[in-house]
Amino acid sequence: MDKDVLQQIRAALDSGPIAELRAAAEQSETEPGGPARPGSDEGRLFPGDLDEASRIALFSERAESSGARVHRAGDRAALKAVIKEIVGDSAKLALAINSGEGAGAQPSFAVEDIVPESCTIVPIEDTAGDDLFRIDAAITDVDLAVAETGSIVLGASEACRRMISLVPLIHIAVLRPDQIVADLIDWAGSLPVADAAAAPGGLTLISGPSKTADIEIKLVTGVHGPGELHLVVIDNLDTLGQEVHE
Amino acid sequence: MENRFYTTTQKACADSALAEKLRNATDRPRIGRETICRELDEVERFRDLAAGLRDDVLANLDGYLSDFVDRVEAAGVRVHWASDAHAAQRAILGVAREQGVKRIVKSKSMLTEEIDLSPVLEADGIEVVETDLGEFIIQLAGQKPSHIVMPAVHLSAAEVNEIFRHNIGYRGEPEAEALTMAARAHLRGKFAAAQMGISGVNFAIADEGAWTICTNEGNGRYVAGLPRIYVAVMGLERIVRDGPDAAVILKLLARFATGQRITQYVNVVRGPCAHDGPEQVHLVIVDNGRSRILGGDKWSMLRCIRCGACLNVCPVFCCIGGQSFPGCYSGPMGEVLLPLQKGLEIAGGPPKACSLCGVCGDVCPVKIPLPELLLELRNDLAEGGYGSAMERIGMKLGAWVFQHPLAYRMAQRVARFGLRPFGKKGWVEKLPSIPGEWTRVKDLPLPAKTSFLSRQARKRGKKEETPNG
Repeated sequence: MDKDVLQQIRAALDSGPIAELRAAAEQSETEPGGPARPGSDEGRLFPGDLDEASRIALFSERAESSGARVHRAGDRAALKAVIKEIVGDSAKLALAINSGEGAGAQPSFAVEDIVPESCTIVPIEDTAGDDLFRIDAAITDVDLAVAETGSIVLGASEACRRMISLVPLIHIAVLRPDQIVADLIDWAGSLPVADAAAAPGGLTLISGPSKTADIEIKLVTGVHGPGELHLVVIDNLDTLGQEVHE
Repeated sequence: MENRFYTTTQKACADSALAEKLRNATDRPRIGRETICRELDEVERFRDLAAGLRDDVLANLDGYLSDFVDRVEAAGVRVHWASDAHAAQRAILGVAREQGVKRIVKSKSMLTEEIDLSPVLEADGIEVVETDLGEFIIQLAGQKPSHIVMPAVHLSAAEVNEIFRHNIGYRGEPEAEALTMAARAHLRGKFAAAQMGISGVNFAIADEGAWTICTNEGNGRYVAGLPRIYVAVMGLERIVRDGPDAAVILKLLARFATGQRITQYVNVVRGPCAHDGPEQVHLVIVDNGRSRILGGDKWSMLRCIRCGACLNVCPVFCCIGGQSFPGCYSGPMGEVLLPLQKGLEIAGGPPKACSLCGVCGDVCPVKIPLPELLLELRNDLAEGGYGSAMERIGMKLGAWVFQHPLAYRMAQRVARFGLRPFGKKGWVEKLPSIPGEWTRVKDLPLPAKTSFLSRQARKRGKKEETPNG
């Protein structure tokens, strides 16, 4: 079966009018200076070396325009206050913090440092469990963020980071300024090329709350995923991380 | 050949409420696209870039596709090749039967509409639930999509209210937000109970051995993440070379589709995942006429990234909507794709619906020459003998008249006086006999009493009389 379809494709490429394009492309590869295929770096809208303040400003503006709320927190107490303000005192929370694979890539917190005392932490061991549908809010870290589109990037994790960030009505993501890259091209450059072991399962780019306009083109948020996405940019995180580790 | 399409179109044209809804629905993404594309400062540069990288992929499709398949197989994905719709249906039904699947959730996929997947699964006793809100509504209503991006734009909140009352026991307000939240509550149960998720593929990334699903609602994340088994169905041309190329397509897809910088959720799937993902992942790669299109003179249609921008600007689509079309694709891209896939015999009507305004070609993010392709298809129709004998004679006569100035002037004069008795408020809507074939589908503006040329000649005559005026 596979031979069939691939052979049909090869036959089309060899005999059809598209054969000319194929020949021209082959020629340009062998002849330097020929009409080369455009490099994708040409698709860049922001320079990769954009300074940190500009990256944070751009990220905040773009994320807000997609419907996310951006918060700044200077220390753990401030982070805890932000979380408390969003979820209240009695929420059922699921957490995926310190969940990344790369050492030092993630913010490091002890749960008691950032979660209001009276909230319940729901352990999510099994994504198929009903517990998943009982949580009010998820708090996760991120692998990366993209200023151009106001996106955060979440890889699959053992803490079921991607699932818990989808199911409840509120998702709070915590990130460091140095995790924000300027352009989507920078994100693409960070992908682990053809190394499935480096990112098993895959990853998700999130750029705002779940939304739809399928009924009368009226915008409604929270159709399947969270209706609220809060992005908390943490300053001085390295210091905080060290404190927690000690 | 085109009778059915003609009838459905006539019906749609007469529906003024539909026209209002379509205008409302297409205005927003169109204006959104125009606004957000200003950010690209050189839209043309981006369109050239995207067209170039799509062409590179198409011209070397065999290599990219086999590299991609090697990589996803190494990551544990089971790949199925399907030469046509039937083979694709069989492959997916086979997986469902083998795994004892009884409940399936689907995210919106035009390809699964194209291969008519759901009825085959349902006939086998499997529950298939569409989870994109628009698709969910039209599934309950037993209809087909009216727009490739916004499938339920032809329905009002009041109509959706009726559909929800009858099918899911809805008793709330007939208003968009409440209806949406009812669908959320209903579909959570379906997500939780499903044993299999099915989605389409926005594009695969050859170098990464990964593919993407873009959704705003998040249903694509559920479908590819929560059930034990996940099946992705992909058209064989929907692939890009590497991550940076994927970034370029992502930048354009949402901007041209809805005026967003990026869709809310972009899921990048690399394979099964012991935690936080499906245990078993299948990928069905579908040909269904694509390799034939690739080998023909209209291969550039395969650049299409299904953004729907051409639908939102098409004056014809904005009157008739997608349900008139003989297939799931509609608007300018459908007018080209349907005849290429199904043949002129079945789908020769749509290219003739085009008004030749050319706007679709101006907005396509991958620069598909849609107006040219539509003209070529019309030419294929004429040369393939699909037109009536009367049309052929009429065209020959017309060509002769246009080539002979004296005959042309005579014909003008005949039309100027001959049409007047049929005119109503400046338009001719109905002519008798053979010329009536023309007014059956088009209104004719009543010619002016005097021609432009003769008026100019008269003016010039006056000027010569008073050289200082």
